[in-house]
Amino acid sequence: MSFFGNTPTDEGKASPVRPEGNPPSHQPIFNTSNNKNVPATIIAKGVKLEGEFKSQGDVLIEGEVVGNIQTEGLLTAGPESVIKAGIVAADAVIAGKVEGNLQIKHRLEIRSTAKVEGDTVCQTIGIEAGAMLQGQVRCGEETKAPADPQQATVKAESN
Amino acid sequence: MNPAYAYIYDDFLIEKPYQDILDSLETRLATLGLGGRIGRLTLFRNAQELVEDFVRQGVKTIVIVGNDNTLDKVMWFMPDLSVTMGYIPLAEPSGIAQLLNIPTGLAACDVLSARLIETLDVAKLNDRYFLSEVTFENTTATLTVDGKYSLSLTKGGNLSIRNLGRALTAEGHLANAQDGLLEAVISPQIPSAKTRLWTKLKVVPPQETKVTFRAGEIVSQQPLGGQADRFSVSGFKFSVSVVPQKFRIIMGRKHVGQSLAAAYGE
Repeated sequence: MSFFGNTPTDEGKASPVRPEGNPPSHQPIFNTSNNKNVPATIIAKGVKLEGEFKSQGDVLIEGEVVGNIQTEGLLTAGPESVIKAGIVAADAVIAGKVEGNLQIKHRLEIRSTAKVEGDTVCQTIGIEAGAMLQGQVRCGEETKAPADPQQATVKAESN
Repeated sequence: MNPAYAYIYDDFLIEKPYQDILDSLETRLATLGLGGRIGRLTLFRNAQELVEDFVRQGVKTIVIVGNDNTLDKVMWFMPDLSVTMGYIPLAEPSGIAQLLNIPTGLAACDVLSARLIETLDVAKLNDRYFLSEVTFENTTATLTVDGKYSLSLTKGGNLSIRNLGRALTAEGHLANAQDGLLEAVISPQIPSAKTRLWTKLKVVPPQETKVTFRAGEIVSQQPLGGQADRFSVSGFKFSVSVVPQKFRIIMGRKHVGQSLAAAYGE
């Protein structure tokens, strides 16, 4: 029996749509780990994450990340995010600046505001007009389950 | 008298306004078969010795009678004892009681009587336990999480490490104190005038950063002052960690989530 149920959530601003069509994961929220519509991790604007970050849930990045990110959920990078990291995720929506390789297990969406420098591997990809993408793109096949994101970074640096 | 119960009265309860309510409380507890030994905290009486004496005498449930400050006087050592804690809040501040869904006053006796026990995680700041959260306001400190990554506040903000959640204000959020994790929440520093303007214009305020973790270290170049539960801390470096399933507490029957949802009018 758990004593900790959901708490109220705020209505949020416009956000990237989760590929599966689930409710948006971009809303400001009350911080309850039990709320399934809310990312388990949020790196907001004004915060810098450095190092090896691993998560089992959804991740929303609006701030700065240097290092490696690995998640078994959806990774959403907002328009003002700056990511210098290898990314390994189940799904991803990129609207900010990424320097590093992306290894996405299922679906990758690159928004018009995105600037991606690095190689990309994914099963399906959607790219909005206006997005900048530099690097090799390989899609159409399911990538292996989250691998070591460090390898992704090393490859990105050697390019 | 029930030998399994002991009650720790805070010293402020000796004041006259509380005599009537204490008489009523003792009558109510006797009626419920929960009457027990009583220990009174005083200025020169060590709370730890008092509680440990009771435990040596076979007491299984220690009930704190007073307010959140009373709880704070025993919280730093209670989780290490093999006892269950009850709480009867008779005065403000009682934010932690609210989070545990324990009503203020005599109604708390019914919670004690129902004896719904939950085992909660407790958090540690350096070597001291805390139940709700520790907050550092207006800081540019860095939080290193599990030795793997760090979070820096590039523009400054408020850093909170939550176990049970905020108990200091009524609008506090609730964290899960049974998941074996702490929650770090970083909120940007916003002048109150700006907040009022945003509320008026219905502007969505900037998001909070949120991560969960088991152990971390907070380091600041500037002296850092904060508050864990209701005690103040200061320094340049703090370690923070969670001890899962550590503390047995008698809680109110209604879910904590429900009580907060009600507070938010949902």
